[in-house]
Formats: sequence, structure tokens, C-alpha cells
Amino acid sequence: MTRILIVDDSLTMRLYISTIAKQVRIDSDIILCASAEEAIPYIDEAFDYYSLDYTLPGMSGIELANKILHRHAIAKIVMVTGNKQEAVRSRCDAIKIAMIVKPDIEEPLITFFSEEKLT
Amino acid sequence: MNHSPKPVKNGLSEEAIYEALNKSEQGIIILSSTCKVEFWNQWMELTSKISHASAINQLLSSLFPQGLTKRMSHAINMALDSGRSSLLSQKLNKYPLPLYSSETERESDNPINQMVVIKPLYCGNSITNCLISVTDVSKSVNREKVLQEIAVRAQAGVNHLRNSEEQIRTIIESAQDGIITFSEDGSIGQFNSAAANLFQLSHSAMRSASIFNLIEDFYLANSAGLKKTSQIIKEQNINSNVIELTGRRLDSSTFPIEFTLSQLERPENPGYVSIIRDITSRKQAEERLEAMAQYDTLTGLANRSLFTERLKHAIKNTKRNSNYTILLFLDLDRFKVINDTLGHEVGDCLLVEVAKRISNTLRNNDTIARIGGDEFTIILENVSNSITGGRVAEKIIKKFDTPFDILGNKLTVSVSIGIATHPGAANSITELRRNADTAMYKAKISGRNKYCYFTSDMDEETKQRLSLETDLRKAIKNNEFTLHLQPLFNLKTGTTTGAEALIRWQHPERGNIPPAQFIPVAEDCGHIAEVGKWVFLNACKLAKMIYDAGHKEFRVSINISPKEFNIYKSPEQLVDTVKSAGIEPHNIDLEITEGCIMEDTKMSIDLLSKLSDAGFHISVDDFGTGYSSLAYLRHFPLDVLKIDQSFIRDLPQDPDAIAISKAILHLAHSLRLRVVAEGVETQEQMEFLKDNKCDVIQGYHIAKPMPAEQFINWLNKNH
Amino acid sequence: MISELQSDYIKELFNVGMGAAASELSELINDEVFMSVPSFQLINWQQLNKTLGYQPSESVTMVYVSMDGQLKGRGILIYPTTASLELAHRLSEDFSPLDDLTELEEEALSEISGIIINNIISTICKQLNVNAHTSLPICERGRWDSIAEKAIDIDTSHKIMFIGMYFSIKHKDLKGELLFLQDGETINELLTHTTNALKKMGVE
Repeated sequence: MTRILIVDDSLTMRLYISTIAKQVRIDSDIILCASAEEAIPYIDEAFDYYSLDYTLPGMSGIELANKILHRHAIAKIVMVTGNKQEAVRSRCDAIKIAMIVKPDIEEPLITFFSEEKLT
Repeated sequence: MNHSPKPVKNGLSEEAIYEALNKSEQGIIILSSTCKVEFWNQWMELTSKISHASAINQLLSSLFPQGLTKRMSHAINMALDSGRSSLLSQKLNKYPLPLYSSETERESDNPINQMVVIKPLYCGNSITNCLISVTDVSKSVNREKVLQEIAVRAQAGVNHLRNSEEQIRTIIESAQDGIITFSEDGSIGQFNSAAANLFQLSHSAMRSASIFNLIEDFYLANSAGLKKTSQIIKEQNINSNVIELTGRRLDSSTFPIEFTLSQLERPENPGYVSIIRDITSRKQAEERLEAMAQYDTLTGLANRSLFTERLKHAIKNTKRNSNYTILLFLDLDRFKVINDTLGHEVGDCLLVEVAKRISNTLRNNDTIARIGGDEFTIILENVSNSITGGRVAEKIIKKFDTPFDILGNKLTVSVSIGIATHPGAANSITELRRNADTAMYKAKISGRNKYCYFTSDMDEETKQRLSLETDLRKAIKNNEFTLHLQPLFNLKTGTTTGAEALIRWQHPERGNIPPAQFIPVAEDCGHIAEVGKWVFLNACKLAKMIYDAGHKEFRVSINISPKEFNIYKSPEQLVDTVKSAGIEPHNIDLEITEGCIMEDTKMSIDLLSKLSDAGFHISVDDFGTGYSSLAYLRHFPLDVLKIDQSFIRDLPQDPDAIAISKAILHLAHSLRLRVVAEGVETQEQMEFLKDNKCDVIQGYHIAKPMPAEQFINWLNKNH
Repeated sequence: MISELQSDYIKELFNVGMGAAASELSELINDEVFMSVPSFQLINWQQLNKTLGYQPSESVTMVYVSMDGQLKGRGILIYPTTASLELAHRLSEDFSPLDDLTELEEEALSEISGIIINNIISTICKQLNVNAHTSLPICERGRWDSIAEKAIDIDTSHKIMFIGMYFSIKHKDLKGELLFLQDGETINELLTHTTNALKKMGVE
């Protein structure tokens, strides 16, 4: 079973991303969170894939990503963002996570979820 | 020119429209949907130096060595793909295209300031072209620059002003004197720290303070709180000079200040700037200096200059209050000898001790000064009696009876004193001083250790008077007083119902001294209380004697002196004396003069009421001679009015005497008071009084005052 | 009238559009641009007026873009004038101690506002598969009551898409209010397209 954590403040996005994820990983158990704070209780659990939105209310996606990496150093995280400014990219690069720019997220996400699982 | 054919609008031909675009003052480029140039107007030719022919059908980006900016490319694509119009502002897009207005500009690489607009062009619903228009906004740029320059300069001006302000503020702040600005209503404007410190206020307290509360003179001048500062400044005549005023602190304590004032050039809010300096320490130094200049450093007594001042002042007061100023000059006898034999140290110490001893005999407002080596002067101010000079001199001489103990030396010192009085022989202050000096010299040459008046008869008079005082004191002890009684004859009953007790003094040397002479002396030297007590006690004893002799309703009248009147604050004392003699208060009649009662009517009413309640009879003596207030008369608890003998004397001839006596009789009877007529000496007088319903008479016609035994015999015979 | 899912998706579209705008702006001014998560409401004129809370005499700056095609209407950005001045001044490299906008500054403000509005429109068009062409951005400044009259010259019973938006440019936080004025027909069309898009994404 594939465990996936999706964090995005847009309901539509959460549903959309999980639809894509399910396409690739039929057996996925998906946790949806509307904010980083909602995701915190799941920090200790190891997920196979993390999809994080960059602009979140409260704690940002990057900060959440850092927390996850601190706990699970080789976690597979993708930052889904509408903000394709250079600054965002460099932040993602700094912690070595992939970045996908909205709105054309389908293809890149498929690629992401197709990557080999860790477990 | 591959544009789709369009219908001609408004009667204009295509050529005309083309010309319009070509000749436009803006740069106009039309691109195809593949970004190739399809129209390049003259303005573009001129400014880019790319001809229409060279531009046509080229990719716009390839026309320029640097290509197009990202923004421009994106905007063009958006126009062609999505129909987006874009505005490329000059501010955010510096020189999107390399265009120059002239060769010189091109050479100096000074491109045109451009504003570029990119719009899609439609044919029906599809986007077929892209329109790029370039506007030269150099004028706007220059205008903006000018505006900015003006603004910058204005700001610089403001800054400069602010800096100057800052500088001035720093100067003011660092000043040691307090600087305060204030307005018409007294409110404080600006101030420096020195000012706040001066008045011991915090900065915030200072900000809300008012000059009226900080300067005492302003405060006092504006008690109603309605004045403006300019008013006060005018009233107090404060100009731009430095003046001394008084500063005022929160706790209402004050301190001397130096105050300088200037007006502020401020028509919309008139005000002043003041510079304030605390001169407390300066004033203190001045005072110390002044004190040094006025006091003898050795003894602390006033020095010559202060003495002179005080004397002038005393003389002035004397004129005003019509009393005496007495000047005493003192000289220590044989001081030089002591100084020479025992040394200056002893001499100085002796002077200090002498000064102390003399000072202790004086009142607070008397002045003692040291005007020379061993010379002292005393000013007695506000003296009612010239005798006082001698009295004080006596006291001082007595003080010197006790030897002085100076640094282990027992020294007997005596003093010679000269007295001069004003008003007196002298016609000027200088003469007064000279007279006192002469008198002192007289004292010295006539034996020392004594006093002398300048006028010799004063010597005699004083001596007499002082000896009388001394003798009076001894009189009671030596039983030199006796009481005589003069009968009071009741005209209605024809019997003697009372008697007035009168004091007599038999001086061993001088013989009989009349009360008229010694009573004033007694009152003056304060001995009257003892005399009065003696009289009262013995009068009671006499009353008892008469009572025992069978005359139960007899009443003895005792004169109460005005001076004693104040001493008898409690009737209980009197009652005790009466009872201890064995009689009752109703056996005693207190005779008080009219003048005495009327002096303090309220006190009199109180006291007399108490005495009357205690049982004493009250008589008003010498009625008609004082300043009676008839209004008060009915409020006094009185029994008897005694008509003064001056009215009786002229009866029964004098019509005025008749009128007054009748009037008093009528008045007394209307007030239910009995009347005693004093000084009745003739039968006619007696008959007149009897006819006019007078109750009692007293006088030689009945009997003279008699000693006690004689009186009782007389009473028994004539009762 | 509008479901939660539709509302959420439209909001997300605005978000993405703003993200694109932020990118483009940051390239243009060569500095980082921050944009907040927008709020989205479909309200009428009275509610809008209340929400905006401008006093009738308050000075307001407005930049608007007219839309035509499948999405008709206007996209309007409203700033309090003081905020717009600050923004313009910060964008100018030269110091401008003026208390009013120069023409050039006004143009810069128009450009930025235009980029924001256009990016949003482009995102919506792309995702919902509709087209709309836009005019140049136009800037107006003045009292709120007269601006409102001029800009919002639409039947006041119509619905307005109101998006509150915060962005930060050159360390200056700004709040601009973004409105999309559409007639009822257009809004309905918009919603229809939204539903279609959702279906395509497999989101119901």
C-alpha cells in the first residue's frame, strides 16, 4: 500500500492531486490536509510521497518540508506552487526537493508519483 | 503590407489612413501573427535608423542587436496568443528599443525615453496582428525631473531649516541659564533643561506649566488669574534689562532670580522669551557681606552703621506714635586697665560677656550696639514713659554687681551710663547722640557705676519716681497702708447704708501720699495688683467688722482699678476672699469707673455678669466723665450710677449742671438703677438732690473719710 | 448559486494567476514579490461598498482593464491613494518627494496593475478554456464616490467577484482590492466552465 500525504489549502487542488495520485498508485492510502498545522500530527509517520503546496495559511510549505526532512531524511517531497519566482526555486533546490508550477501539474505529478517508492 | 482589406471609414481612403499612420508623431509597428514586421512608420525609421524597406518582413527581435526585452517579447506573445493588451511604462522598462532622437543623441548613447503600448489587432474574432506603438515621453521625464528638483530643493530647505533649528536647539539646551518662552496666557512654549532644573520640574510638568506659577511676581500680580502676561509686564515695568525677581517652585518655596525678557517676533501668537538665572548663592553672599557690614564681628551686636540706621528708624516711629525713644550710652569703667594688664584676649572675652549680660536685660525690639572699643549704645523704642530709661539703666548697673569670670580671671566691672530722651532737649539726632554722650561723661566724672540723664531735673524726677516705686513695694510689708471709710447716706431712709473704702498711704519719711499720686505709679510699675488685693481683702475685713457691730444690711464699696479689672478674670477669687473674711458678696459693692467699663464692652459685660451672678453689687463710678455708650448701658448688670462730683459741685445754681444731673437721675431711674451723688458739700445741694429723687449722697456735707474705728463709732452714733 | 467546490476552484485559479503575476512582476522590477492567499466572495454592490469601507470623500486610485469575448466585464484594482503613492515611489529608482503621482508614475502603476489583472485573466481563460481579450489598463484617481460611479457603471443588482489581495513589493506591504465585474450571464458562463473543468480533473 502506498501512503501519500497531500497538503494544499485549495479543496479543488487536494482532490485533483489525489485523483492524479490514484491514477498512478491505485493502492494508495491518501491523507489530505488543508494546512501545514493539520499535517503536523502525521510528521512521525513515514509516507511514500509528499505533495506540499508552497503558499499555505500559517506555516509555509517550505517550513513543513524542512520538518519532514528532519524526521525522514530521504522523504520524497514535491513542492506544488503557483509562484514560479526564482526565490522559490532556489529554496526548493536548497533542500533538494522538486518543484512543480501550477496550473500544469498533471504531467509532472504523474512523473513524480511514478518514481520508485522507498519502501 | 499584407493587412486584410478593411472597409474605409468616414470617407477616408486607405492611402489617407496609411499616411496618417506613417506620419504619426508616435512610432507605429504592426507585426504579423508570426512576429514579422508588416508596418514600420517614419517615426520608427528616423529614430531607429532602420528604413521601412529593411524592416519589412523581418522578425522584430532580429532587427536589433540586443534583441527584445523579455517583457516585450512576452507582451507581444500574449497579444498574439491571448489578445492581451500591455502597457510598458517608462519607469519599469528603460529603453525597450534602441531609439534616438538625433545623431548627437545616438553618438552619446542617449536613447529616447519610451512608453510602449502593445495591442492585438482583430479581423472579426481572430487575432491577426499585433500593434506596437512607441511614445516619446522625454518631455514628461524632464517635467518630472524639474518637479523632483523643486521638491528636492524644498526638502533641502526644510532640512537646512531643521538643521539650523537643531543647532539652535543644541545651543539653547547646553546653556546654563534657564531659557523659557511663553505666550500671552502664560503657557510655557519651549524651554531648556536648565530651566526645568531651576524649577525642579520634570520635562512633561514643564511643558504644561504656566509662567504665572513659576515667577512669584507674576503670580502675585495675577491673583484673579485673568491677566495677560503683556499686561503684567507693562504694570511691573519689566523691560529688556536684567531685573531681580523671585522664582517659585512647586512647593511654593521661592528663590531669587535674575530675569531678562525679550519679545518674540510672532504676530500670530505673541509671546516672550526669558532668560532666568538662579542667584540664591549670590544673594546669600550679598547678605553675608551686608551682615558683616552691619554687625560687630566680636560681639555680634549691631555695629555703628546699623545703630545709626536703627536710631533714625526709631525717631521716625516716635514721631508717628507720639511716644518716646530713649538713647543710652554705656562705657565700661576702667576697661583700658584690664586690657593692658590682662591682655586683649581677656579684654575681648569680657566684651563678649558684657554684651550678653546687657542684651539679656533688654526687650526684643530694643537695639544694643557696640560702637567703639568698650562703648555700647542702647536704643529703647516705643517707650511710653521717659522714666523707663532710668529703670533700664538701674537694671543694667545691678547686673554688673556680679563679677565676670573670664578665662579664669574674676573681674569686677562697672559701667557708666548716659541717658537722653526724645522728645526732649535735643533738636536733631546728632544732638541727641551728643547729649547721651555728655550724660555718660557726667556719670563718669561724678563717681562711675551710675547713670545720668542729660537734663538734671530728669535725674531728680526719675529718682523720686523710682524711689516711690521701691517704697510702694515695701508699703504693704511695712503696713503703711490703711483704709478709710466715707459714708453713703440714703436720702430716702435718712440712714447710712454703706461706705466707700479709700486707701491711704502713710509714708514713714514723706508722710501722707495721696492716692492720686501713688495709684498711677502703682499701675505703671505693675504693683497695682498687690495693692488692689490688699485693698479688697481689708475692705472685706472692715465689712465684717461693721456686720459684727450689728449693721447687717451694710454694704462696703470697693474701687476696682481699670488695671486690676483685667486681673480679676475669675470672680471665684473675689468670692473666696469675701467668704474667707466671713461675709457674703452682697455685702460688697464693686465700684468701677465708667471709662473702664466702656473700654471693652463685651469683656465688661461678661465679667460684670459673672460678678453680679456671684452676688456682688456693681456701681459705675464717675458717671458722666467717660464715653458711655447709652446703648450698652442697659446691657450691663448694674445696680448704681455714681454721678461724678464735677456735676454736683455747680448745683444748684448752674442751669447746665441742673439739667445734666436731672437727666442722669431720670436715666438711671428709667433703667431701674439707683443713683449716688458724689461730692455733696452743701445743704442746698443735698436738698436739690433730695427733691430730684436722688437715692444716696456722699460728701463732706455728710462726713469726711474716716479710719475704721472712728467710722464705726460715727455709724453707731448717727445710724 | 455557487457551490463550495466551484468557489474553491475559482479561488485556486486566482491564486495561480496571482502566482504568475508575482513571477512576472518580480522579473520586471528585479526583486522578490510576495502575494498572499486571496479571499474570494461573490457579493452585490451594497455588500462590496460595506466591505471596502471607503469614506465617500476618501482619495482612491483605481486601475481597470476591460474584458471582451467569452468573459465580458472589467477587472479593477483599487488602492487607497496613499498606498498607491508609496508603491509608485518605491518603484521609481529616483527619489520622488512629491505627494502626488506624476504621469510616468501613474503609468508604472497602471502597468503593474495590468500585469496582475491580465495574469489572472489568462490563468482563468487557460484553465477554463475560454477566451477574453483585454484593453489597456486605465488609471483613475479621485474621491471614492465619484470613482465608484465611473468604474462600477453596472447594474447594482449584479454580482461582483471580489478578491481581497495582499502583496508585498520592495518591502512595502500593500493591500489592493481586486474586483471582477461581470453581468449575470457572464458569471453563469464562468460557473459552467468551472464545473466542466472540475469534471475534467476528475473532481466532483
